[in-house]
Amino acid sequence: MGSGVGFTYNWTNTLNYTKIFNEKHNLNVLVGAEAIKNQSTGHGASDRDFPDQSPNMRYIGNGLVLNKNAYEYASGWALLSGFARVNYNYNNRYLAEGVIRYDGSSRFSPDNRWGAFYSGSLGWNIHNESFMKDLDWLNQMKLRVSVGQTGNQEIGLYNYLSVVSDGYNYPFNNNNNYGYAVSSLGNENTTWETTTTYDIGLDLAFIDDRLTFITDYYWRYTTDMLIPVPLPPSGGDANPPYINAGEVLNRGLEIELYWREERSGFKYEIGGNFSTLYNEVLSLSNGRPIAAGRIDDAVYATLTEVGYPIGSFYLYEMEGIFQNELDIFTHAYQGPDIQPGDVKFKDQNGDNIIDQTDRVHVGSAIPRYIYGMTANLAWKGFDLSLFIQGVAGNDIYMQVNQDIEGFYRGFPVTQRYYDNRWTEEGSTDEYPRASWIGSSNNKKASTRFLESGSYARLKNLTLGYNFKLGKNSSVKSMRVYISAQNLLTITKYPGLDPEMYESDNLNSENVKNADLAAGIDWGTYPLSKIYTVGFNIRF
Amino acid sequence: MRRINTKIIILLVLVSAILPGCQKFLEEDLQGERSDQQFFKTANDAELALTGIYNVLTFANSDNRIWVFGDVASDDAAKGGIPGDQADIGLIDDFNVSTDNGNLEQVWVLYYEGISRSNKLLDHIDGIDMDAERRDQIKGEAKFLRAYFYYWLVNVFGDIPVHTTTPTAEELQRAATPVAKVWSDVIIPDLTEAAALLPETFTGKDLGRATSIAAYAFLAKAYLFTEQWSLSEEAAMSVVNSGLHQLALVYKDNFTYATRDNPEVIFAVRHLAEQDPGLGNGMNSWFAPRAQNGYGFNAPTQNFVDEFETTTEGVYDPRLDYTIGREGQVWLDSNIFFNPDWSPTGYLQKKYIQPLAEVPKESKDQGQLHYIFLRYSDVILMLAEALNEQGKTAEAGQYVNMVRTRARESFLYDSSLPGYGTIPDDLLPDITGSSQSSLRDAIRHERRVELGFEFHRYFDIIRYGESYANDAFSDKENFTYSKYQHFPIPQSELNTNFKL
Repeated sequence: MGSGVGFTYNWTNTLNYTKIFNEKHNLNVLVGAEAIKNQSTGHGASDRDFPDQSPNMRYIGNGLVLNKNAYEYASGWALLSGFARVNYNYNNRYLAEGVIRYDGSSRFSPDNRWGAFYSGSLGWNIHNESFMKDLDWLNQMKLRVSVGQTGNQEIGLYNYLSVVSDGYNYPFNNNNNYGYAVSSLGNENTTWETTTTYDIGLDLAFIDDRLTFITDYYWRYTTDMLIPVPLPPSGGDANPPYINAGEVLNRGLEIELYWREERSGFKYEIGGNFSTLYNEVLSLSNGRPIAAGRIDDAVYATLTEVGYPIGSFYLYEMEGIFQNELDIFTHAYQGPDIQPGDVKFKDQNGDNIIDQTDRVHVGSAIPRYIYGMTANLAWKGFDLSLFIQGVAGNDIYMQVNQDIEGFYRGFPVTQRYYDNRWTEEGSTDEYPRASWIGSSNNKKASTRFLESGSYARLKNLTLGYNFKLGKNSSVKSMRVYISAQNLLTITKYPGLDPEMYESDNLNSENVKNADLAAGIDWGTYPLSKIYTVGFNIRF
Repeated sequence: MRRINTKIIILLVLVSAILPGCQKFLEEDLQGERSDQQFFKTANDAELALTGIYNVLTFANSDNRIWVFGDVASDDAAKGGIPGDQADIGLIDDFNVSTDNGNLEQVWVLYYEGISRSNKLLDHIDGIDMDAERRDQIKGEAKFLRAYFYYWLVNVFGDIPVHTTTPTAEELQRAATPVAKVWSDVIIPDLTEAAALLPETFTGKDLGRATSIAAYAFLAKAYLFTEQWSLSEEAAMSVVNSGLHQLALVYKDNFTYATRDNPEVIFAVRHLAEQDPGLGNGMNSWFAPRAQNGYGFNAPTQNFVDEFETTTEGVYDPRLDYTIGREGQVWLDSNIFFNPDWSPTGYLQKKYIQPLAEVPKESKDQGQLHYIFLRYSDVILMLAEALNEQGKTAEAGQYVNMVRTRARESFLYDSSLPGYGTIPDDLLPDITGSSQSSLRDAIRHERRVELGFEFHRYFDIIRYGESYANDAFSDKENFTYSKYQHFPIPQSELNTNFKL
């Protein structure tokens, strides 16, 4: 039984100044300050072993266990900002804007609280130029260029402090004695993470705004990346602090295209967007790669290394299955208990031994392409809308298969493993023999469990009808509709749901670095298909 | 003009309202817990931090896997349990160990956390204003415990990085120190200082803390590992001469709840049931048969059973049935007999398991027996070994016979033994008139049967040398002495410490 209260207040003040000079020069200046503070408290208690289970006896204190738990906590954070923005345009043709802000956060040590962030952009409304005046099929042509910075401070509230916790007890004589130890380490030098985005874009609209086309190319540099870089366990097991640990680049192309039309009662809008994404780690604080994505004691599925995408999968590469003894003998040494039917791993460095140096970067959870399509149609009271979304070029490490096809404990196995497993020479090159002793080789974290995560999904399909109502009716509008969400998914992924809308890594108690370990499927609960029937009436 | 003036005044008022509060506004203090800058200030803080170091010893934590290396890796035990359960332990048993074996990581992380807590307390203890005598004792206890953690790490892993104060970020990147230096520069100095700072006994509410006698006993062991025989003899004699410890009347008193604090125990890891966080002995569950809600790990081998002497009539050394369960014998509770189907080897060991009458199936992991790290018979046998290696064979023989006599006289003092009342003929006869090399073999044999399943066997095998080890592991085709003197450093350390 517990309760918690959080209280946040936000005090913002701005001062705005607008002036038009000589009819053509438009100037706007904004200056402001913002203060945000949060205070949270909570408390609770628990009890066990109730001898009388009837509802009017279920109260804390009635349990038989000697140790009852009671707890209380309080925490808070604060942000303070000052900012200024200048906006100028000349005759709505040439546009310029500049912003500066200065933010302070309670989460950093007093010497490192403040960060300064700048933005600037220029725009050219080409369609307003005199030489474009006669092109009446062109409604808008705007060229934009911008650079912008934002700051990130989403780390623990007291990251700069090393915290001493209780619960490390020991019994002397026959009595429990309380013990304390440092449970997490702080770092005083941690400060704001900055993301600087450079963007160039073009907005076009044709034929009375019926066809619109927007395109952008962006480069997004995240510097002073906040990562809890793991520390050598020979220094202790306390949780490592977030530090500013490196730089990552995201860049890509975005395109958006829409066609809108309305004629004789039939109104429609169809469009889509498409974007590419390229991700690369540019530098890491001490140059060394960071292993993350812990899937077992001392086994990490991802490695964040300079020159590769963040959290890229770092695994053994499965070459096939050993078919006979000669196969094993001629291949690099993989261990003393290898038998025909076991998984064969690739010797990457040619040293004739399969060990940790034969793991390589084999893929990434970050999609290369993201796309979507929407359509909205309306005719005589009927309306139909649909929304499709998809990604391509990403991989998912299906950890759940390691449990249900790895055959290392008494878990049930999948039908496809049972049907396709290696039974004799030449039977298969994809699924190893079912052997408990062999499983320690066969369940090794490798491309055997790496799947393509590309998918396209019909996220929403809605069909509705608006009733025609008399002018003087007291009912203003009436609509009936049916709708389906996640109706259809096209994917090759064998798991439950390639969308993995929630990263299961956050739930795994042993994961300390969820940011560097996306795309690991521990059996993510899939999104449901939802069918809805609805009726709206407005008076 | 008027309008602009008013606006400026409003602006100034707003700005000036914020500015003085600026830095104070962003100060959020840690609530309900202390930072390490606020801790380590009072005598009470020192005691809390010291207990935090003792906390690492407990076998309530399933990461505490020294038994996998001490027993399962040796010729005393096999993994046990059902096939496929804890396969990584089986890989250690088979000497097929790679750096991603989970047991390596569990022991490494746990024991280095113990070292980190010891270093933190030792860094701060001199700055705390407190009673000087207790301060010295706390230092002694922290050093003893640090030596304990380094003892297990150096024996399991060999060359390891050493920290004796809290490291800075740069110092975390540390190369490995060779085995000999870990003993000579860390373990032995820590124990020597601890012996000088600690009292001879801790009683009453402090029962269980490390004493100076424990430090001497541990030193005797450390000197044996480094083959400094006369220093080992000297340390062991300090224990003997103190008169504070002696052999228990019956061997099994050490492994029975009611007599677990008898004078033979010199230093043990203590457990207590029904605590939150738990402090019960998990081994009560891990090594018990599955039929009694256990896991059945650490199963004794036939080789271990064959090491025990029998009389010509077939009466076994009573220590066999005090250590393990086998067919036809009572298993702990007087109404339960051991079923050999409970184990793939036909045997299970019982030193950490209590009868169901004391710890029922439902709370199987709430055992309250100790893990005895140092007991008097170990000290006696170490003394015998040290004397024998210096050529003092006759004197050494006397001490070996003390241990054998105690075992033999179980028939006089343990009424539950079948045949109680008279000692069977030629059971465990005294050793007389042997040569140095035959007494050496006798001592090694005696250590194996006396200290079985107390996590010492593997490390004894390795320190006895290559030919002994090759003989002991003649049935393990993957074992080579050069490769498995020690086990590999775990991958998580190799991933983050770039000086290794």
